[in-house]
Amino acid sequence: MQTNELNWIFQIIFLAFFFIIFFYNQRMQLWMMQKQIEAALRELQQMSNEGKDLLIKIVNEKGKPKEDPRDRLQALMDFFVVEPVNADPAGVIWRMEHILDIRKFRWEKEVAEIAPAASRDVAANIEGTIEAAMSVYYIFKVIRHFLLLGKKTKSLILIMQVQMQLPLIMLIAKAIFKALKAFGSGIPIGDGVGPFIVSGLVREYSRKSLPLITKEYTEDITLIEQNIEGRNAFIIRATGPGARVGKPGEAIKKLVEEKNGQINHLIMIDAGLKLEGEKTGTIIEGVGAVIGGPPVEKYKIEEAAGVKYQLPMDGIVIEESQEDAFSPLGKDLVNAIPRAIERVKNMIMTRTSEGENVIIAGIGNCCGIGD
Amino acid sequence: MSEPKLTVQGKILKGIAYIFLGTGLIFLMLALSSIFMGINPPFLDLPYLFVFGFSLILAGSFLLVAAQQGIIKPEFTTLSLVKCNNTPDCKYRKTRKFEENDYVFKELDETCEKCYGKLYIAAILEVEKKAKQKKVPEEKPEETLQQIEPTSEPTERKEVEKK
Repeated sequence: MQTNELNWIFQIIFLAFFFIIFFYNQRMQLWMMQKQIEAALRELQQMSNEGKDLLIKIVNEKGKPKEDPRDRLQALMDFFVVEPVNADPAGVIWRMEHILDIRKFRWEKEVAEIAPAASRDVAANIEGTIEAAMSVYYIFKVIRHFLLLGKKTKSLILIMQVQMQLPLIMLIAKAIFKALKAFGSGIPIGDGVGPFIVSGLVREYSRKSLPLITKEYTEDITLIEQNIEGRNAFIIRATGPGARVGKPGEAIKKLVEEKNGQINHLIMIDAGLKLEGEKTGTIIEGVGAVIGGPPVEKYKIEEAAGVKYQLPMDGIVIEESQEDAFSPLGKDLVNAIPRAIERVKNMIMTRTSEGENVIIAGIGNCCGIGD
Repeated sequence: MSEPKLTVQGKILKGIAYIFLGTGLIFLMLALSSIFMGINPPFLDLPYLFVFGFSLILAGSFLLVAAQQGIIKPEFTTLSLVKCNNTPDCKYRKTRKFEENDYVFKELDETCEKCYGKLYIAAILEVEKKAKQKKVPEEKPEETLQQIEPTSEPTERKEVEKK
């Protein structure tokens, strides 16, 4: 073949390549992104299926159900909660609380029927496992929805949005999957550092004087009265070792009102999200109602303790990533606990005087953390 | 997301793959410049540049895929840290594998080997399994959890005394 002819062939190939890139560039991008989402979706499906299998295994082992629990568990996987209307914001907090209460009641009833032999703590762990399995399944469903919708409409914008957020979504899904396993076995998770710290504090001082423990001060909340450095400390945390968070806001409100506002200080300890670059287990201090989740409990604390009685509210946050919060407790967080206890003690000593009443609330999920 | 860790073989394969891919790309660029600009390298003819270029890119891609097999998936184990009720007076502590129904602050039926006090679970934590374990020192002077760096394998009844 002559060199001239060869040049022609290459010229045609180059032009063809140029036109393909020019007109089908987006299609090719779309295809590549779809493939990435499909790979992630397969992983999500695997996690979701594994989660469901694990859940069924736990329910069968610990709950001894009378009939096959698969159908009822699948129904719980698709369970939904309709948020209260916020177009008229007046009273939205109480409407939200009502909805959360009926959801909790419904789930507890379902778990009691699915796993009749489970103890209260085990039932709480099963509830946590169902919730985690439901979250992984929901992420899978949403990603699948956008992938199929993107394919159907050939919309680059839909596919691109999912693909760009995929690393973060997968990180969260994997963390929830870890939480699922942790709840199933009753292993403490990163979110539980708050109750861990307050119980560690009680344990330290209970050598000097025995505490007065009131289980179920409010539903799922334990109140411990303990003398700490001459102060009357009222320690509030969710009742462990089941996977519960309780209603700490309700308990704080009740206690402040029972004492007619004769509380001098409120200290709240919780896990908080760190920024990338910050070290897991860093302890920071601030003011305000340090509590996450639905705003109901935060509102109660701000309203009852803050506005009504002008109670000073301090907070200690143990920084961790979202992944750490859902995963079993790691070395960094366990090592941060004694330091956090020291910070709480220091806060009590410097901000309150002897004989004063102080509330110390450890906020978080108590899975695997006894009272 | 952080880059997945690779085994030594994986890292070597990845390095070779990048060298192959880079060389293949240079060969292809030389071939294209030979076609469009008429600059012919003296050491190889045009068809060979193409063949070598494509072959190297193909081999590099295969090696890159093979290197992915060497990704180390972190394995975790859950440990229960057991301490004596007389802490901090008694420094006894040990780690053991997490057992069903373990929970933090659970009082155990076992007694301390050192002071015969009751044992309890001070913490439950997840640690990464290491491929090769360093030998755990017999004695540690630490007092609090802060200094505890649990090993990924449970230690046999390990007593820690004050120096």
